[in-house]
Amino acid sequence: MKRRDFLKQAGLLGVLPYLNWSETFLSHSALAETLKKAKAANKTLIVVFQRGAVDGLSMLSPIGDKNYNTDIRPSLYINPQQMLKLDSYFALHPSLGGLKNLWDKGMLTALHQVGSPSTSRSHFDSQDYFEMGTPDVKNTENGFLTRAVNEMKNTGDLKLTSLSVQTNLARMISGDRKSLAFNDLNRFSIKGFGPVPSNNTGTSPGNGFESFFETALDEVMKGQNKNSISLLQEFGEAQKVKIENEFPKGGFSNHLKDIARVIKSGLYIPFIVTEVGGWDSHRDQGNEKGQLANRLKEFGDSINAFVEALGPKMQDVTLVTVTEFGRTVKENGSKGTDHGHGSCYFVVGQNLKPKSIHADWKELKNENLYEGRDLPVNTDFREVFADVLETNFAIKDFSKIFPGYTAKKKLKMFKT
Amino acid sequence: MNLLISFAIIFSFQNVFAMDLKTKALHVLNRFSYGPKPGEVDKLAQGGDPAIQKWFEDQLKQVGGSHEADIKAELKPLASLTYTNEQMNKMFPKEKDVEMKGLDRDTIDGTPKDILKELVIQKLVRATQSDNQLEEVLLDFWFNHFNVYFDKGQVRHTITSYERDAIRPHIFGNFKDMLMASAKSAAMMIYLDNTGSKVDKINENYARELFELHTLGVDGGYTQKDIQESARVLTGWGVEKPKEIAEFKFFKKQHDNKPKHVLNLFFKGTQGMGEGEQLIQYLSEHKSTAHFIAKKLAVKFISDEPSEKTVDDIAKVFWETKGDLKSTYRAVFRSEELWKDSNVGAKIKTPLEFLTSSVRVTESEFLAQPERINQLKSFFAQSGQELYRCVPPTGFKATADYWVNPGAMVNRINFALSMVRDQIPQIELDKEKLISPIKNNKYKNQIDILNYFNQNIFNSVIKKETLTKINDLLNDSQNYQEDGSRELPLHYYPLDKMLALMLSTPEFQRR
Repeated sequence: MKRRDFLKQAGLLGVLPYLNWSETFLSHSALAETLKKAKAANKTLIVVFQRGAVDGLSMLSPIGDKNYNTDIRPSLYINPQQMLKLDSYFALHPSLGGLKNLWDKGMLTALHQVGSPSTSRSHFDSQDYFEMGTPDVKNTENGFLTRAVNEMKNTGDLKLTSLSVQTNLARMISGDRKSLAFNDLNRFSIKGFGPVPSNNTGTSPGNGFESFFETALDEVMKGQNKNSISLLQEFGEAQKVKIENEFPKGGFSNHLKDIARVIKSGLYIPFIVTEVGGWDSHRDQGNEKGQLANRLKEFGDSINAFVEALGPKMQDVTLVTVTEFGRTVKENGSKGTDHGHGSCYFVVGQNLKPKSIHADWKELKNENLYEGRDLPVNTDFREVFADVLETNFAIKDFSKIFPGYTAKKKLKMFKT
Repeated sequence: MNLLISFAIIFSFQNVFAMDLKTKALHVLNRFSYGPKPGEVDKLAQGGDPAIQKWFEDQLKQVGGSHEADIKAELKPLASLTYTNEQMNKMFPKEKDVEMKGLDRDTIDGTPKDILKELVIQKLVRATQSDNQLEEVLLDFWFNHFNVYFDKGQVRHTITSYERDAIRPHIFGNFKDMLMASAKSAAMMIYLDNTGSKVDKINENYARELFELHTLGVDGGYTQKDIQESARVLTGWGVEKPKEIAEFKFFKKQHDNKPKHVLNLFFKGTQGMGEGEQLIQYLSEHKSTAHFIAKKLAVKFISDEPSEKTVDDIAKVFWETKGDLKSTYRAVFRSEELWKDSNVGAKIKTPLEFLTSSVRVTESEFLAQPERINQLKSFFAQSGQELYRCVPPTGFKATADYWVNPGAMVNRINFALSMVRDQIPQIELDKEKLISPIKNNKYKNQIDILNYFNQNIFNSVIKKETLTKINDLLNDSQNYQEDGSRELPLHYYPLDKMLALMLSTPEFQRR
């Protein structure tokens, strides 16, 4: 802030007598400003939504908490020896070797007993509340990342401010006029009409197609990105990007791979959202083996492969995994878990303070549990995103992004 | 009281006369069928309001038509459609079991993936070809309301009978019966994990969705305690030998016999399965349920954002008739909001509605061909509407925000192109038939052909500006008109692309 103020004053100097000096000074400062803008402008946030409410206690188990044992979780409990220890208190699920690899490199931060304060145990309401950034308030008009875009400076030149790599436009970015969704990068082109040209020279079929569908989209899409079809060209570059390292099989993996290709193509989009399902483990959740273990394997390995694919580009990327709520602390009657409250998120990036776990852990005694049964929420999801957005996108004012909310604490997950 | 209601119904239908007949006929077919076939709108419009009303009443009565016998014959080779769950287990064993047990493939009909293929094909055959269009539209609505997910364990072997025996027979019956049938189905008990819910070892999954998604709705007025207590009431509701018989069964020993309290209901704990039945009946008659179902029907048939009054009017009928569905559908049909001019074409088609209406508008055949199904599967997968494979119990959304985005639009365009180029094995588009009235004509201008298609196939829904754009677009690449005086035979024009682009227009994405 102070530096910016100073530069503004320096700009005023331009009209003062010391013309030569100030010109030199200005060109330097303008350059500095441009560089700074560029640096601030190419950060990307990826949000991975684990839809279905993942069992945070299984992803990251409190092995140091005596109350976490086979009494409460007879079939789900995993012997700590088999788990991937992060420190003396927390260990990752054995299937999350991919995330352990990132932890060892100092690129993973974990948050536990984290989530939304909403009392809802409905998947659908809770997902909405999260994506709108307004717990327990229905009919918020747009997504919280859309409001974050509105707070950002210098987005005018960007062709896209948000992208959703899934079959629909994620609610987190709904209402963003420069947003777009596709499920599969390779299929985001129109068959048999040839490439869509980028300039408007006017004769090729692609161009006519473009204008035709711009109108089409504009009419059907009310308020979504008007220029989306002309963006087919932009993604044409991404379609050419090949990823060398191996990704696991699976839909989520494909989505992260597509995101890596988009970023590597040089098309800059600040916010990218994707999702991964299959976490609603009411029955036969499993321990080191089974349903959840299989889902976690794809989850962790895909994220690890994504980081590898990006290589040095990871410098500008932060990936956050979230879920709508957690699951019951106690196992239910069918070797699964029911809808709960707090859960566990991960943050992946190169500029994180290495090997950090933000938990404010409350032991799993009945009196500490939410409504006597669920993991409590000690860290509000809005605190997590306030930290990510402030550090990476220089957003200072959160009054519109998270209306009516004042952060209780600053997480400071990143190196300063 | 009833007289007053009837009067109100007649009165509100009078307002319908404000809309011209052709628009009205198109609107009815767009909202209560999978879209008009060529000629259908005109025929209905000629009969005037009585014909339109009669069409709706006939749909409620499932009077059928000439296509029903053909469909039956066509679907006959798809063995799984008539099987019991037990037969399914026997004839469509898991791929793993076929290999491990060394089963002779000649003695079985296939593996679970074949069940899905047949299920998807029968749905699309019926949706596109059946004369009982409203039944098919409602089947989709109610299956989606009581969604189950194909790939969850034994749902694969029980889903066909679920749709056939639990949902379809009650579409024009009573809501309570459908709710009860879904509760007493193997597919639902497996999908929402009630099979594992026992005394002192409850599983809340089904109980929660029974309240949140099937009856009261999330704001319908219940607490976490009600869910837990209901889960106790429903302990013992399960499935007998899921890998063999796979039918619903009440397991007395697993039932919680202690007293329970749900909403205003007190259970002594001695009634066994009767408790659950009483709970389900109570929920089906709850005012919140009437409102929740009314709203859902209004969103499907009337508007993405129906007025409170519209919803209340429908809810009132649902509540007063104790969930009589025919009466409820009539209330939807007679809602004033449905017939507002501004409401015509206001709904965006789901991917399913886009596909089926494209088939119908071009009068294409849809073949009961379960092999080579990849193109169809991929269209639905890329659109986010994989049939029978919606994982969360909410089912697919009925509002535009969910379906409209650039990726989805590109997907629709590509589908239309594939369809007119005969690249989808199940869809036979008879271009000769479509152009037969004009096939000997010569055209100076492509726009005249576009206008012909618009009037005779697309019921003139496509705006002039849009047609001009298609014309410009295709002229750019096909320089047919360098000599304006020359008249060219029809086949000189890119009819495929014309049709595909017309199917891709914003106007055709609406219903």
